[in-house]
Amino acid sequence: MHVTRRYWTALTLATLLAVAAVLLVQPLLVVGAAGIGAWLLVHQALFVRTVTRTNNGLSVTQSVTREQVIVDDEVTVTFDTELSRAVAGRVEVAATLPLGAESPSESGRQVDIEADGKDGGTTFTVGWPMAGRFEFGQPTVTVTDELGLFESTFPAEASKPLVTVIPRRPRDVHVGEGGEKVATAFGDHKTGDFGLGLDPGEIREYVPGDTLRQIDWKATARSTVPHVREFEEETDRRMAVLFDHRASMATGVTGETELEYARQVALAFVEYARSEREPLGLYTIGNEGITVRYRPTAEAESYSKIQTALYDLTPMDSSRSSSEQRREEAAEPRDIRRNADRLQDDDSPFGTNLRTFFATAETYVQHIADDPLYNTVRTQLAEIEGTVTAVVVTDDRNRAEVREAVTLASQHCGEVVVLLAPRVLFEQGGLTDMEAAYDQYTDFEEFRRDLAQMDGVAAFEIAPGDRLDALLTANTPGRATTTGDK
Amino acid sequence: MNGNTTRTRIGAFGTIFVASAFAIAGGLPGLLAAVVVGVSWYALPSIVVFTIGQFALGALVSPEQTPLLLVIAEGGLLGILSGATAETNRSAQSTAFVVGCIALFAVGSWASYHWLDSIWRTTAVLAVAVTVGAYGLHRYERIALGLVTDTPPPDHE
Repeated sequence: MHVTRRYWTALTLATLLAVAAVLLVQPLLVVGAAGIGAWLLVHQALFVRTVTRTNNGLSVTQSVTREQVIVDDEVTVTFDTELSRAVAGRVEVAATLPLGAESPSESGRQVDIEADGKDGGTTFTVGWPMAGRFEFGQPTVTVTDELGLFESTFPAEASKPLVTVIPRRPRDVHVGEGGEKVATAFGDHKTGDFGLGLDPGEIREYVPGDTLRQIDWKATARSTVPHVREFEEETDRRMAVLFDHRASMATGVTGETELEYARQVALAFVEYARSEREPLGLYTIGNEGITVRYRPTAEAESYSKIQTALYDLTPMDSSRSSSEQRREEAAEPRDIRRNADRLQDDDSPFGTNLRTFFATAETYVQHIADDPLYNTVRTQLAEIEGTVTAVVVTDDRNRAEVREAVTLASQHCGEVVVLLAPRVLFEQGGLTDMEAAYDQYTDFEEFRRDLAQMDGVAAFEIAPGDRLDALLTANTPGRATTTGDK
Repeated sequence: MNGNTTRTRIGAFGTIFVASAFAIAGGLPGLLAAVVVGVSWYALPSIVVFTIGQFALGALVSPEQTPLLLVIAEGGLLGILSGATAETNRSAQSTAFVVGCIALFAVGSWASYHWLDSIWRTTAVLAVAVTVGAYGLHRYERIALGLVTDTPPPDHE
């Protein structure tokens, strides 16, 4: 119980009367002091009765719309209070939020029950800026008497909802082609061929065409039928992951960006390489060039280093270099050729003047030569000995440079795996207009297929599976064509 | 201070009683005191009006000479003081409890003055009674709310 300024004022007046009574020898003033003292005591007794009645008769219910949310999501809380009987005085019941939760002002999550009132309720939203498990606290009840002399605050019994906030992270990582998931993208490549080598393989019956030196004489003697022993083909295959973490990879909501999804896929490649003890290298590509370089090696600790490097990667800031801006503005050669073809038959002054600019692709070549991804392929992959599987992880923002980089990689490497994040599936609000989004996705798919048709190149999409499903479902004939952003 | 509780019907009757007693008992100074109490009742919180009235009563009325006027004036002051309670609590029982307790304390203090024959002793007894009563109620509330536990405080060595 706390006393207010009004209480102290009344007590001061009582003291004044008492002191004056002693000094002036006036017994009537003692009676006055006794009157005020009694007045304060009686109101205190009445207030205590109000408080105990409130405590005994108050029931508080607090419930949440969802018990599991993602970071930065909001939950609506319903907060209801009811007194078994009305009390004299003002009762305020405030919800106690867990630490780390965000809500509007305290008044927004407080219920006031005026004198003679019996119930009240409110709803408010709570934001969750951090992950964890959060339990609501006991609501706080504040009772004030009607004369404003006393105030008491105490906790109330109530249900305490528990909210689990999970961090934003890639969910339902889709790796596939044209919306279809594939399982072989995660580093699988053709291995286990039998041929010449040192490691013994299986023994099988002789078939015409096998050489004499392949015959396993011991097995032949045991079975009396000619048998040959095969040896596992030795391979010096190496894998090099080229991971793009330029500003465009930041597209998407926090925790579910292109980079986050790409990271998950790249980490799967690391796990695969570790399990197969396949030499693995990593080249991360920033706005101006390579930011991290680990040459392919099969040392145990190198996999951990690469994993750590991938976990540490963040998108570069969005300040674009001038060369990057030029690349974005550059058209692809096939566009240039198409436009040049159109101008061939145009004899107007407009066409004649423009033809000059389409006569050479030098500018385009210059732009591509400046590209960090292309440069990395050109300078780094060529240095790696043996058969290299290049894994290019990027998005579809700068298609011309991706195409040229992959073309060059396919010339250097035995196999190229391209993993592309379609921007339309990551942009916030990207699926607001489903038809437009589907057009963009179709365009992306065409680009992916172009890449996949190159020799030794396999191209896959990396996307949030739920958003891709929503896009494809909405554009399936017979379904709604426009829905909200999921 | 207590602005919402000054001008109640009971307070108005109390003020009339007090002012009448002052006017009858004190002549011109009594009239002046009556006006002061009336204006105070209109403008100031009831607890302040009660204090002013009590000072005026002590100055104007002699208990030995005019006991009836004293009772009327004290009754009026009691009405001023308890008027706000009657208006806010609305329950007749609560109001009767408040009025009865105040009257009991007032009579008790007057009786103890006559029994002890000392103003300062009476004042001391009153101060102790109010303090013990207030603290007792405070402790009772804490216990009733379950905010007092039996857990001993940690040792500080």
